[in-house]
Amino acid sequence: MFKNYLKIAIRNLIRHKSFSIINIVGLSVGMICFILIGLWINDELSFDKYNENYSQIYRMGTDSKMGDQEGTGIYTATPMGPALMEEIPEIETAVRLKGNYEKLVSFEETNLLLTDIYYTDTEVFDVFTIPLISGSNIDLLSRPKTVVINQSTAKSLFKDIDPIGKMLTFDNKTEYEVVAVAKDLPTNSHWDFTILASFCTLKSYNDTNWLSYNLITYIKTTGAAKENILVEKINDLFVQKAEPIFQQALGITIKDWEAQGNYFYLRVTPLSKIYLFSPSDDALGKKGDIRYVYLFAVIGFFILLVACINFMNLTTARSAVRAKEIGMRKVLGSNRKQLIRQFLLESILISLLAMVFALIGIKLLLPYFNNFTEKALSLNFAGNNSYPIYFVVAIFIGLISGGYSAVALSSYKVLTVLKGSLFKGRQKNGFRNALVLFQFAISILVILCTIITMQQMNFISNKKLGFDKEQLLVVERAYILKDQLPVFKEEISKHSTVISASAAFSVPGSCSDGSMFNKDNNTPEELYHFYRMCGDYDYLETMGIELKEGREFYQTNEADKSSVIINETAVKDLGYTDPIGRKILDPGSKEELTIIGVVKDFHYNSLRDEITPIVLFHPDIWYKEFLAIKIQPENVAGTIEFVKDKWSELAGNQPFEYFFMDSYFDNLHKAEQRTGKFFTIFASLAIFIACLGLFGLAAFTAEQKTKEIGVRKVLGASVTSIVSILLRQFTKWVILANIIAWPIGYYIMKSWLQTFAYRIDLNVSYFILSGLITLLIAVTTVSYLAINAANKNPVKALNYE
Amino acid sequence: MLSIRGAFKYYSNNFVKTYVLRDIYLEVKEGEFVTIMGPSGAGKSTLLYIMGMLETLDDGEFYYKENPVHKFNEKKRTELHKHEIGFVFQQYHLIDELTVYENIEMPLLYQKIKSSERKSMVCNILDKFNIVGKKGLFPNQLSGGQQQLVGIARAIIGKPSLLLADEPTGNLNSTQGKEIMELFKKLNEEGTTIIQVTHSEEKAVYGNRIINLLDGRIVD
Repeated sequence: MFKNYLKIAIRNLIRHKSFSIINIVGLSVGMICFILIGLWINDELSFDKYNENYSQIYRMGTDSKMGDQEGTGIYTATPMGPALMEEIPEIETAVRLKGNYEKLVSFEETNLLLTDIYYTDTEVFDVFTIPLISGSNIDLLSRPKTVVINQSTAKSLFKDIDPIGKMLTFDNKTEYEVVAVAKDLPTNSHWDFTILASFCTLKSYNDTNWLSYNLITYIKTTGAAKENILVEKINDLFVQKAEPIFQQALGITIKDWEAQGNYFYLRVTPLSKIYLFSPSDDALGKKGDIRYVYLFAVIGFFILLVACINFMNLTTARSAVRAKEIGMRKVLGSNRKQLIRQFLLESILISLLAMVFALIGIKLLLPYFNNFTEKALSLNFAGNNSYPIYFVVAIFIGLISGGYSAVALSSYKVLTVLKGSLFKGRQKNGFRNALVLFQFAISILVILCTIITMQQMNFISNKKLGFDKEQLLVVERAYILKDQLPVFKEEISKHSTVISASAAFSVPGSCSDGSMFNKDNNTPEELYHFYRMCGDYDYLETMGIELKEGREFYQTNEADKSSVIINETAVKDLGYTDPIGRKILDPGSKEELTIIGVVKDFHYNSLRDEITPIVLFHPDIWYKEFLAIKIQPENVAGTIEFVKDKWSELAGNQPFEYFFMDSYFDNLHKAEQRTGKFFTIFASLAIFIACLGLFGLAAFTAEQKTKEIGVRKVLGASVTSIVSILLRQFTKWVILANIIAWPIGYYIMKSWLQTFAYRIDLNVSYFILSGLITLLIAVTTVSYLAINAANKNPVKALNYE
Repeated sequence: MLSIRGAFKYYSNNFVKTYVLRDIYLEVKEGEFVTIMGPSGAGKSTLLYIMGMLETLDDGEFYYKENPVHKFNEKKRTELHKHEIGFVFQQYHLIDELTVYENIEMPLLYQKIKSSERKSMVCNILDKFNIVGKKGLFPNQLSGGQQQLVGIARAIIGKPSLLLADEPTGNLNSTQGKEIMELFKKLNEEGTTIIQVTHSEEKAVYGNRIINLLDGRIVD
């Protein structure tokens, strides 16, 4: 029997080639989307799970409110880790990570600029699962000036030499002995390291200050205590330890301080929540976002659903072709269950075929997808062999999409089917119409989201930033040159393709240094938060920041050293009507800073954030991290080469690192850009699948209406009037689908746009456009078939009956 | 063998009942060859399908070999009909995707007969009907008469006690029609009870009893 079913199924597939191709291609594309998104989500959810004690690991953090400023942080005090371990029995072990540092690491002739270097305790190997490749694991990192390096660092530094016992030099100064080589952390780890150095190397190892927050502490619990009880114990310990030093510094007890409306709590974040759930400024390394996980889960599910609906629709629509067989099988003794089984088998077969194509497709697409998502996804997501899972998924999809038609087809009455009266008269296709409607609604929704995402991305990249990010080459780590930096700047400025150059403490996109200030009207309780920036005398010109009033710093004016330039927002916040000559006060040092200029607002951070007050300090105040160089658009490569040569002359073996401001700034919106692209890709696929379905349905409708069209033609109808009959039917659905999709799209995109401080308005035209696009696609598809049908010879059509 | 008593069949349309069969009383004995005649729309086919248990009565009783079929549910009816009844149609109704061999074999699959047994049964009947050479062909490669031959072979392969034929020669030319009718006669002589529906007086004479149907009633 099974063989008989299989035979029929295969012969049907071969006989109705176009139907089979539409069905299989549609389903395959749907599966590709679903599986790719599934792999991505699986990877996002798998973060940090490689740790054996996954559920027992927590990261310490802080919640605080001082004055008006509330904040959260992940940095904690140096003595805390060991104290927690010692005094709270529920905490098995704790580790501190100080970093991450960027250092020039040298071995013999090899110099590498490495990031992700941490100073840490030996407990790092107890808390996290970090397998060693070579070296002994006894008391690792317990001696000063020892390091554990990861495998890829070992490879690039030592090539084929055995690293154990060799000496590495950090920043041309300190030597460290390599005691072990560890496996690279998996890509789905929220933090990564190249080198772990022994914490006891640092002087700050013996720091006992409970109020100085400069490293990250992870704890591993015994699993015995509940989270809230644990937090309570930790905070009790904190108050006990911090009280003396707190009183010494502020002159009041913690209790009194809290009575003034302030607070400072320690909190714990489970490892399972760090990657997907922490706020973005909490990120140590990689950072995911649970909202995107949900969003793409929904998208993936919907695309698959659209593909399944296609399948359902096409199969049911073709029932006329199968009706005779169904009737005959009933006559020959088949019961309904057997028929249902037969049709399910057929849909499973198609689903399995589609899965095979989908898997081949994914194999080919994965490298691009990985490149795009910066992940290392593989089809083998669940250990050694994931293929049985795909097999089960395919069967499941086959059952779902074949279920409806199997039940519908098997319910046909023998007499009506065999007498050929099944498809006479008006048909009630309520369920199928609802499916088509649903399909259109999803397509419109996806198109709408794509249009709005793209508009917002465009808006961001074209928004006037208030500074000029084009042709701005930024050399990093300029401080390495020390007193040679002015020489470097001087030499470069002389080059013909260089317009100007400026040494700076920070450039837009790298601002993170903030501080509180008072107004000059003697109200110390009113605190204003400013981001602090500092650049040399050419800073405003090189960055293209406009001065609104007042003046820049004068090189010759000694008094300028206690002067500042602020931005428009700062003026507004302070409420100064005539800011030039007014002052702001540093509440710590009580120093008065005179405002000599006001610059127009510019975006110093991502456009997600609103512009807030900024203060620019005198060039001599701070060290310089960057050298920003404004260059001519011509011969960029030559200019870079020139700057690099000059660097090597002055900096010796220190590597030359640079970036371009425009791409650096765009990187701030990388997640959004990627989401935009994601949307576009999956939207086009969803539309493609929906069109396939539409094409199939329209073809079927045209075929079904052959007789009606024939009669109408005999009675004198023109081709145009016949085409319009068919079109009207589909147009109705598209319009109805719009009505369903618009409010949902409005809600989703509204809440997405809320995450941007600077955003586009939700214009009606986006909604109309998405509707028109769908309509256009639908009309094009249907017209093609309708014209074909209408041009048929009516005599043939009528004889067919 | 079968007995229909006071049978009614109607369709409801907008609360109006359209009667297809009214108050039918009919007895058919084992070994008979009954012909049902009547104009289009008289209810001939409906009556035939009811006797074949593919349609149900709206009122009245239907006993088949003492089984109260009118009280059976669909599953029970299917069980009974697949062992007892064979069907032949005017349009042959062969399954286009299956070969001659596979078409004939199908009822045996539903009767869960073992593979080796199936094979010999199909071979026997192919031999008997002289169509061994055609067993690998698909229905659209056969002439009408050949297709109907396959249809009959398929109908009788399960050795049904009752063979129902709905205008079996309606689509055939006179020579082919005659051959098919001769075959029916032979099957009847071998013991199969046959009930056929036809328009043609000429075909009716092959049977040994004629029932005339007009507007859903048995006349004369």
